[in-house]
Amino acid sequence: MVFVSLIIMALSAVIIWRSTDGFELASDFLGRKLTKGIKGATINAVASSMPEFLSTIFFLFYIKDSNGFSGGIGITGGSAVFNILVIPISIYTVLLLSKKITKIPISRSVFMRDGFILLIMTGFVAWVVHANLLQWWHGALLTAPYLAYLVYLFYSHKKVVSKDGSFEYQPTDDKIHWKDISMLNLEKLVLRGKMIRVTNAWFLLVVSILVMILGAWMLVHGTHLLGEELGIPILFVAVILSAAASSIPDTMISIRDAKKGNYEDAFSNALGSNIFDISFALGFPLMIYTLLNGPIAMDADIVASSSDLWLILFLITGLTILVFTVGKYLNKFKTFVLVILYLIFLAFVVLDYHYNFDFVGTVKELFNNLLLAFRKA
Amino acid sequence: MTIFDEIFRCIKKQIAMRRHKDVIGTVQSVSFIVAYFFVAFSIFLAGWYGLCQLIDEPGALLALYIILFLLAGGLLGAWLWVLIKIPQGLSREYDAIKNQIASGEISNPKEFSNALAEFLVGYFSFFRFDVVAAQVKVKDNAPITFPESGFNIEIDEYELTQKSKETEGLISLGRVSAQGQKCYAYLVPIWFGKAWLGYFCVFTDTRLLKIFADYLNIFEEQFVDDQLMHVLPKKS
Repeated sequence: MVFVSLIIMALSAVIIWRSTDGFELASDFLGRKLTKGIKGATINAVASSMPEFLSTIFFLFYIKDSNGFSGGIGITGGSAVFNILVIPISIYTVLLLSKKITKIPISRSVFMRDGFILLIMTGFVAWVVHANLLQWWHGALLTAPYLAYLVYLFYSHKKVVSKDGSFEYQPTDDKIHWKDISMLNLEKLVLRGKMIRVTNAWFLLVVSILVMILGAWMLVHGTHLLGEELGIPILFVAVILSAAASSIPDTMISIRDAKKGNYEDAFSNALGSNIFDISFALGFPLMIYTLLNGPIAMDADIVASSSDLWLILFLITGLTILVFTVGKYLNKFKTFVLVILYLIFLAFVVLDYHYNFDFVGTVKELFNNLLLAFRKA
Repeated sequence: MTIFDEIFRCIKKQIAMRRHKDVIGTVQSVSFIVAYFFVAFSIFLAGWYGLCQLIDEPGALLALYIILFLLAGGLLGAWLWVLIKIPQGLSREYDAIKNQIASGEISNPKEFSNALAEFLVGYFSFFRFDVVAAQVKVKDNAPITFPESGFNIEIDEYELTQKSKETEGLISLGRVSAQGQKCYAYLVPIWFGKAWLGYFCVFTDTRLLKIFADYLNIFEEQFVDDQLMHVLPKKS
């Protein structure tokens, strides 16, 4: 059964990846008249973070309560780490191997701006997951910053760039082969060689979301199955395996951008989708669930583990932003540091599972002791 | 300046600008949003209650219900929003052409045809109402097609002219071929009183619903004919 659940998870990763391709094309076309800022914060963020959002809903309503929400915490937290560490590592590796590029220019201002918001949001979630009883307003508080950010964007930017926008599309041939069906080439299956238009773009969008829903459900089911088979809490399975499976689309989008030379987009997509993941993908399902089913009483072990997880995520985010804001390039050394940080994260998750150490509790105790000693002195 | 100062500045600016905008439009928009959310939420709760009553452990089904409801509700809401906003948007967007006519930037039928054809393709770009190409003909002038390149319409100009002279309302021409792809053609004759001024023909990717066909008729009556009169040579 372990093998079966791993197969289900691998398949779900492929389905999610393929559906994101169709979703991205359709949303790119439908949002062609929007400015880059609004498009990035709405369409692009939704496109790349939809799997985490859908998975969190399935986790909550399928597995329910404390255990279910721990899956949501795990997948969003794990994706956040994956996005800020593995995506830059993948970009660097791909560009080094394919184009022999050893130094990738990075925009420090983007990392300073988005990184700062991300750091605040991560700290905010760390505070929320530390609560023993999760209420609807916890979800509302998480969702609110993203909605406020959207309102700000819509009011501070011009809505229309130009009449036609800047969208170029070359229709594929209309013959559908087995390869297109087996590889879930939604673009070809839905558009069938026709030019992309508003109506068929909406159809492509809907079909892509439906396929993504299937992928997200399989991912949650596989995670649940694997956790039960191995006797590992869902939080720990979700934080590494499910998070990696759901983050494949982000990685693909960023690598594609980097290959085209759009380095800024490649890195900012990773940061932007983290903000959406943490704020909306975790907060909104929590709000709906608690509104309909009442507060979630969190299991003490899960509270300790998830608090530890988000505290380490907070520290890693801070360190990663520091790595990116020192110097103007992503080079071999920095990539090596990112690899080390990811390995530390993995080691932390494994050790936390085995020894169940209360990192947050220890830090708190240490802080209290220091405070006491300071007062006595 | 902090981000909060910036947000506060934007809100103040928007409030100041709103004073000069139409209050009725805002009230209509807010009423629509409130009514839509109320109806959608009521249907959602009814479905939710029904599912919980019918099935003991809805679990994944409940999650699926929520996701599909969010998807369908979001898309339907967006589409309805666009529909009710078409007339308002039309007035705002078309105002640019009226201004150009008033300032003399558009001063002859050819320039008007170009602007109108481009406008038809650029503005009418909605779900089930997507104009992919347009042809405008003003009497005694050659027809203008937009986009100029990559859209060879297999349709007879003489036939269109004759048909448009026979009636004042929109004529559906059925499916036509353009650049190897099938689309639907709709002919809208332009009349000013009893004088035939020409026609515009739009090509859409899907068959138009009656409500959209009516929009095109109204567009011709209230926006096109009188403006065209301004650019026609006076003797005609």
